[in-house]
Amino acid sequence: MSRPPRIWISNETPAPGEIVRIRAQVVHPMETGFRFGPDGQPLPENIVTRFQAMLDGELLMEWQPETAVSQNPYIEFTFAALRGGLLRMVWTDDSGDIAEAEQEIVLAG
Amino acid sequence: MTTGQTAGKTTRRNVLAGIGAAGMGALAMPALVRARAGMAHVVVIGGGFGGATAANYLRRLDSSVWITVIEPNANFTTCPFSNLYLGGLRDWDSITHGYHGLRGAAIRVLETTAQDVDSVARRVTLADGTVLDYDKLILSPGIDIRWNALEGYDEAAAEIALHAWKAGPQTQALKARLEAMEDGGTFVMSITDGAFRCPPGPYERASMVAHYFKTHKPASKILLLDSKESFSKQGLFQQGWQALYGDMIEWVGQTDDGQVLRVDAQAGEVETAFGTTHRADVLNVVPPQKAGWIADRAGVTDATGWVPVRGSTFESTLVPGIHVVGDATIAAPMPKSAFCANAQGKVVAAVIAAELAGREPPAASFANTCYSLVGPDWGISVAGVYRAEGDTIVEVPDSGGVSPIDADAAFRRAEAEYGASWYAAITADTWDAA
Repeated sequence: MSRPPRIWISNETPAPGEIVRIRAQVVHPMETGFRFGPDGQPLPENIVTRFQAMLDGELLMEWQPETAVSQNPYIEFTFAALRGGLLRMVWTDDSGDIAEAEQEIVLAG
Repeated sequence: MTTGQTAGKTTRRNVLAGIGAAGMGALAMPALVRARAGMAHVVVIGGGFGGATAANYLRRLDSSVWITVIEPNANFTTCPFSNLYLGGLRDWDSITHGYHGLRGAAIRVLETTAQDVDSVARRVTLADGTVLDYDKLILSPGIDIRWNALEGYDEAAAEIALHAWKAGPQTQALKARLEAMEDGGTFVMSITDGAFRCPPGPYERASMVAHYFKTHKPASKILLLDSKESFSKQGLFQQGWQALYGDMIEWVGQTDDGQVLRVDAQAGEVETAFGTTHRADVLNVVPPQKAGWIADRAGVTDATGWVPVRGSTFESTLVPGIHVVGDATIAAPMPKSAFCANAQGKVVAAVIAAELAGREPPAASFANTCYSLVGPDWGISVAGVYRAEGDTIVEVPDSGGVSPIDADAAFRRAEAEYGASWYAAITADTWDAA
């Protein structure tokens, strides 16, 4: 995960209860472990195993991508903005590598 | 088809040709009813590469079958080489083909639209309400646009932000826009992902627009916003672009925020997944697509909007008795190309001719080559050979391939010439009577 994740948010200052849409993508090879290298040996599995989104310290959603998910996994999700706080997203892969992205959300009104 | 014909068959052909020339008005005439008595009637909807080839080859295999092609256009302008028209390398007439060849082969060509298909009663209803009974139906419906699948891209928007993904008035309008654009402007193309007509098409179009800019508006730019991570013949295209056009063409893949999710045709702007707005002087949208709408009416499309077929016969898996060919079908690993539609049309002609004669159809075999022109003397290609394994289609191992990346100028020039020869050959094969 050599590059910082790319994120987009429909509204950083939503009204209370407004549905907020998030798009997030991380650059990752998602190597399945099923392929063979030029030397005939299997390429070791290295996929993003877990994606978590937390708002103000509380888990909003978790995704566990598997080998069928293509490289540079892209996720789009929504949530109702019941409160503000720091939206924190964390990707973890097989090698223990971690990527993070943060976005402050402030309720309007 | 002048050799090997008996006098009797020729006579019947002449009769049928006369009926074709008389057009739809002849439908109600008793003479026609007598002429068709005892003959199987094969109706082909769509006179493009798939449909015209199927009709043409069915006639070669069976001189007695009654064949009707339904096609709304008096002449057919091909998507292949329409990019060359945009680049100024071809005129409109050279990519437009008539139906005199089919009519000369005793194929009735009705210049109208098929509005509905009743697959139980085996009837096709035409735009004026005329009903045609058929024994076999071949659909070659091409593609339609999935309006609003891309936010902001509906039929009204497409009049401003042209797709030009069916060769016709849109293609001519796009050329006019390019000609009206001032030097230093930006041509932006939004490119869909998933299944779409002509996988290398957007990149050949970029090449041909670049050729036009280089010769007429050298300060202009081309921005390709792609919903995909990679594309057909990518290495070959990008090598050619660098060599011929320097940095005129910029390609932005999905990972670099190239995926367009919203089009504002009035403003000439597009917005990407991660919120970047790009403004175009000329905006071209290669939009999400589906099978031509008559396929829906016939009930042969599935939830994808495309048509699943049996690979051995190209008969619909959903509606027995209807064969479907060309871009509308799910024929992967075969691409949606004119070459494939032509090959599929031949297979369907062979299957129907065999069924009408009570024989086993021959084993299906398919080939494809897609030539793309990067510059006037710079051609590249990808080729494949396929066969049916049961209902599925497989690529024949170690067949096909792409042009070598390290080829010299003479090789590229030769491929450009092969491409032109291919076009002359396949259009003759499709629309000229043999």
